Amino acid sequence: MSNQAVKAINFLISKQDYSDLRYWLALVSYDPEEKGFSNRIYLLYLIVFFAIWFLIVLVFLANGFLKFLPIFGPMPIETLLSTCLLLLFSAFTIFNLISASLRSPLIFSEEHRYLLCQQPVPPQPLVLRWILAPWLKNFLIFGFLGTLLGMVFAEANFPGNEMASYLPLYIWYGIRVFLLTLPFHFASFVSSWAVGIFACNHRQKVFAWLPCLALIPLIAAIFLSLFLPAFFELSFPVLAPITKTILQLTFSFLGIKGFGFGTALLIGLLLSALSLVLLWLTAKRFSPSKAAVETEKAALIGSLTRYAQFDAVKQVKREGKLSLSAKTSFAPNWQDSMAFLWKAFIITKRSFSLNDLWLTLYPLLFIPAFAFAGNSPTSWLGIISWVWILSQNSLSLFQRDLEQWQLTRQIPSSIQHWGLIELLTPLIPTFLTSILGTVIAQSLFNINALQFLPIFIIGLTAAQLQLGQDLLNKNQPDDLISGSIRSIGLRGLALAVACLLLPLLVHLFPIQPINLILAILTAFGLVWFGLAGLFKQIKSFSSDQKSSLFLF
Amino acid sequence: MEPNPVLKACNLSRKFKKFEALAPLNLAIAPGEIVVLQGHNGSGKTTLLNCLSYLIPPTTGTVEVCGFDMVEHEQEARRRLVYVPDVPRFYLELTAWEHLRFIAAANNALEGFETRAESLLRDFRLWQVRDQFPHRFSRGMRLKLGLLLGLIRPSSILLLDEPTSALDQEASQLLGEKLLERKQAGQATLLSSHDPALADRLADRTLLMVEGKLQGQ
Repeated sequence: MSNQAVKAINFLISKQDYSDLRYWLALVSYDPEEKGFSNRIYLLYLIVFFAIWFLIVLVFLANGFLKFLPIFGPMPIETLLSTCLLLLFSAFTIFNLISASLRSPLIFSEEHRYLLCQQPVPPQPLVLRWILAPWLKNFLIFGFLGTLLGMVFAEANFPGNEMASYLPLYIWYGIRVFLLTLPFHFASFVSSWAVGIFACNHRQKVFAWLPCLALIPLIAAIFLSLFLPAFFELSFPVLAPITKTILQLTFSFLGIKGFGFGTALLIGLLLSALSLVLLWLTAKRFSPSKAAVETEKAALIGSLTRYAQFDAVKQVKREGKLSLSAKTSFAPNWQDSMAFLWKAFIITKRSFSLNDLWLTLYPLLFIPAFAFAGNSPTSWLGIISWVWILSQNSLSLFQRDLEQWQLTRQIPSSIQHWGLIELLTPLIPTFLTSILGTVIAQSLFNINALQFLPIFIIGLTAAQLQLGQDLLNKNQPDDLISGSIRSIGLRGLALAVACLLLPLLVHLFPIQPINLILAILTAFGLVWFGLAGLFKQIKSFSSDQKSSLFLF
Repeated sequence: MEPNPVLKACNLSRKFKKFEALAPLNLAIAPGEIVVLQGHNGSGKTTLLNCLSYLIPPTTGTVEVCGFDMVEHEQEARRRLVYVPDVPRFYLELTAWEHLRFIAAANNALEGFETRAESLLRDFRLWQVRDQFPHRFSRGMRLKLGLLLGLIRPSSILLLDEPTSALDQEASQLLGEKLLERKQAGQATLLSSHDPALADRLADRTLLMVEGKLQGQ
């Protein structure tokens, strides 16, 4: 019975992994089901192509990384790379420990929940078979970065013009790190799962998080034992033996001194075996049905992300942030169009995230940086990123209203007022942080940022109106009635960028203060252009004819 | 002399590209009248209601609510017309109570709101869940909340799309009573339904939609 169950688990997970593999192969138009000769040749071509492509990318990145290293000061390259390797390992391990402990590391989809988790499957074989694909995905990123560090060391050792003659050795530097990181990463990943499964088994108890909380400082201490002496020449006699062992080990990865390749590999394999025993022991009490309940949201997000349904991912995350119920704490007597402000206040309060905070505070960094760099084509690249950031959070209220078209459209307020309230209210925090950013630039860094403030404020208003106009253009009533919303397009984004760039371009006019007056007038002109276009789009919602994005 | 209709549609039609979902039609509903719209799935009932409420603009024709044109005097017309779709949607971050308050506030109807809202929520058995978020509700509860959003504000004509499709018997009965109360107050209702018992109980007039054409006027 048990043997049959193990076979069934193997069969199911193999099918699942194969389907995963086919998904990725489909991206490069390769179908493993087709057995023809030409298809095999195509596979060979793909292998050769991607091998060369990866090599070129790694060489390019290694070269760039080497040029970047001197900023850390005069330090032996092997010490620096060893610290980087250990930092990478510590970061991956801590991240895996936390994500495995937050919810079960085995993520079950809805189908698994109903079919697999209801069966009396033996948990240990299930966990050991399940871990392989997630480990491999995690290792591919880790292994790539490890290989890159190995190649940086090769770059530092071989003269650039003679690199071609050393190519096999150059590649071996990368492969050596890749091969040695493999067992160590496996041991770290399996241990994280063991800790995660322990937490899942004892979810309601205080000590569920204990192994995770104990391991994180330990890993941090191991990292610091190497980092502090290397970067700050701080040495602790207690940590000296650890520092020495770690250095010996990481040096073996790079092929210098240390324990040597064979010993390091053996240590890695030994740690892997120990971690597997640990996982086997903790998996004994693992309950798939309990894990399925914990991972319902993660499975949904994973499947939506895989098919690039990022709006749906956002929706699931928004739902997850809300509790079952909430009390109304603020209920002013605001009526008609003002009711939208009250709604905006509640929605913003309940959906505000750290990401929103960062997007709102962005002008604090951007304005001093822009004023410092000056109004030049190079600084304009920053404007593009600002408009992109603006489009990410300042349209959310407007988008929500469009999603609830059945409700919004029936409200007997002026539809123009509605459009302006929902589009311009979210700009207020950005305006405030822009003013604060200007004050910081003027007072702390003594940079003349004040001249750009009116251009930014009026230009941002024009940009937001363009973005709103584009959103309306992309979402006509026929689509809105079904609740499906399309995001802003490239055309709208380009017009919004132009709303900030045009006044800045005019600002380059050599005579002051005429340049500022002209720039402000241009920005106002763009606001008028945006308003007229927005109202035209809104008006088109009362007729069956779609209005064009451009005003004239 | 015939009273002025609360809802009047002239030559109303709707095409989706080349497909004619709604053939040109004329419709008038008198104050206090309850009209039941029947027809097979896909016959055009929902499209008609969407066009009458201008959630989807019609391809041809005009709609007047109490003499106010839906395009020329949109705000006045919208103040008097409510449409409750068969699958209502809600803001994710607002609770049931906040939805009712938002709709009342946006319609300038906050006076006496607390009493009206409590009475409606208790009648439809949503009082206990008033502080919950509607996306956690069952389909029937969501439909009830959608109906309450239509009933919380004053209106001269109520358009309902299959309002009893997910309701329990008690709620269906209650909805019928509310519509009859509205009728006494001179407020009209146009509802689409597949339930013949509901039509028999409430309808002053029954209209039949067949392949986008209105029959039985």
